[in-house]
Amino acid sequence: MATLNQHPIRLTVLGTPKVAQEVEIRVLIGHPMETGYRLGEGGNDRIPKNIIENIVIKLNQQVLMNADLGTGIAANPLLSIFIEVPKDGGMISVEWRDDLGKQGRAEKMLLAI
Amino acid sequence: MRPNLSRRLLLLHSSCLSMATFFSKDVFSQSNVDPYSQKNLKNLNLKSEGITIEIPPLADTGNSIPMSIQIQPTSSAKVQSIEIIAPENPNQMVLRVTLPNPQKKLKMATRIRLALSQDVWVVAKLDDGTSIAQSANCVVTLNACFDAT
Amino acid sequence: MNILKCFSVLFFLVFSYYSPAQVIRQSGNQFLSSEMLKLQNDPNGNPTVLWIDQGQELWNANCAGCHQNIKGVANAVVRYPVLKSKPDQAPKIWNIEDQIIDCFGKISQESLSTEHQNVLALSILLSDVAKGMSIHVDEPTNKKENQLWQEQMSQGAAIYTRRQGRLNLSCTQCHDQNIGKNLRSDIVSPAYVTGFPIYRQSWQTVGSIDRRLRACYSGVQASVPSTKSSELRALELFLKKRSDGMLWDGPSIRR
Repeated sequence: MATLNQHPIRLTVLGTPKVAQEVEIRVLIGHPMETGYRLGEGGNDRIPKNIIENIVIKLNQQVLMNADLGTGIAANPLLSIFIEVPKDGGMISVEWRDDLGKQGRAEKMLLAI
Repeated sequence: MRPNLSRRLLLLHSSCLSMATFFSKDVFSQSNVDPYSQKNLKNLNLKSEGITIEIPPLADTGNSIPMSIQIQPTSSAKVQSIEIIAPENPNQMVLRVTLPNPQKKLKMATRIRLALSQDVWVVAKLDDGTSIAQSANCVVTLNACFDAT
Repeated sequence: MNILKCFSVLFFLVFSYYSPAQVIRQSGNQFLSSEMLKLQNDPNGNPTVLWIDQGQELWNANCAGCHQNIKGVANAVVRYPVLKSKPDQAPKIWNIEDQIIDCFGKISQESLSTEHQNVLALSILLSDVAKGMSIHVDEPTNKKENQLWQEQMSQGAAIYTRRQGRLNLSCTQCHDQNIGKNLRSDIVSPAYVTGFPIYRQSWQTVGSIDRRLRACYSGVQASVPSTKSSELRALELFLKKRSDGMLWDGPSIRR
C-alpha cells in the first residue's frame, strides 16, 4: 500500500492575480481537530485531543499571518487571508504544526498579471 | 464520646453558610474570574468602528460555521493581532492571529465551532496600544435525530 | 401475505416512477440551506476535495496499473449495488465500498471497514468522476440470480415500509409522506441515493452509505444493524433502484 499523506493539504489562490487587486489565499487541511471532549465508541472514553496548534502563511519568506488555533476551529480547518497582489507576485508557503508533533507544508507560486 | 453537634447548632451553621454564600455571590460569580465572559467583554467598552464580522445568524451546525472578518481601523493605527473569542465555548479562545508586520487592513476567513448559540467576539489589538472589538450573534441548530454511529 | 404486500409496494413504487404523471424526484442537495449549498459547490472549500486528492494518490499508486480508464470504473458507482458471488461465498449484494474493499484484498491481507479512510478516499474519487452519470441499477439476466436479486429487492422494500424503533416510524412515513417538512431544524428530503459518500458535519468526516443508513436506524431509535449486514445491503439496493434514472451528484455535504 502506498504511504498516504494522512493530512492532505490544499493551498489555492482565488481571484484574478492582477497587481494591486485583492486575491484570497486559502488553505484547507485534512485534520480531525479532535477536541478531546468527544466520546468514542461505546460512549465511555474520550477520544484524545489532537488539534492543529499553529498555521503560518508566508509570502516570499515574509510572514503574512501567524495563526494560533484552538479547539474552536472546525475540523478540516479552512483559513484564508485576503491580500493585494504585489508587483512581482511571489512564493506563497504554508506551514502547520499540531499538538502531537505532526507537521505539514505546501507551496504555491503566485504569478502577478 | 458523643459528637457535640446538636440539631440547633447544625441549623445555625447551615443558615450562616447559606447567607455567607448569598452575600459573597460576587466572589464566586463567573464574571469576575473569567476575562472572556460576555459581561466582561461588553464592559471593556471597546469601539467597534473598523471591524466587520460576517457570520450566518442561523447556523446549520455547531461543528462548522463560516466566519469572515475585515478589520480596517478608522484611526491611523495598524492591526497587530486579533482574537476570535467564543465566551460560551469550553475553550473560549478560538483563534489568535498575529501579524508580524502590522497592516492597515486585515481580511480573513475561517470556519469555527460553537458549542451553543452565542455572541462571537473579535478583539483586535492595534499598534498604538489600543484595542477595538465587535461581536456578532449566531444561533446554532442541532441535528434532529440521534446518531449512534 | 407479507410477501404479497412487499411485491405490491415494490410494484407501486417502481410503476409510479415509470408512469406518465411522474413525481419530480429531487436530489438531497436541493434540500440544503443556502450556506451548505454554497459549500457543496465550492471546489476549494468543500472538505470532500481533501479525500478526492487522497483518492487520486491511492488510485495512481494502486489501481491505475490495471484500470487504465477511470471513467469506466466510475460507471460502477451508478450501477452498484449488484449481486455478486465469490468462489467460497454464496451470492450476496455488494455495494461500491464492498467492491473497493475486495480490490484492496488483492494487494493486502486486511479486510477493511467501509469507513476506512483509504476505502472512502477511493469511493469519493470514483463518486466525483461519476458526477453527472445517470443511475442505472440493472436486474441480473440469469434466471437464478434474478430470483435472488428480486428477493433482496423485496426485503429492501419491506424494511423501507415497516415501522421500527422506539419512535415506531417507517422510512416511507418521512421520506415519502413528509418531504419538505421540518424535523426540528432539519428538512426532510426524499432520500434518493444520488451523492455518496458524504461529508457529514455531525460526523466531522466523510462516511459511506452503510454508515448513513445505520444512523437512520439510530434516528428512529431502532437496533442498529451491524456494518456490512445483508439487511443494510438489501435496503441500499432498494433505495438505489428507487433513484434509477436520476443523475449522480458526486460526493455531497450534509448536516
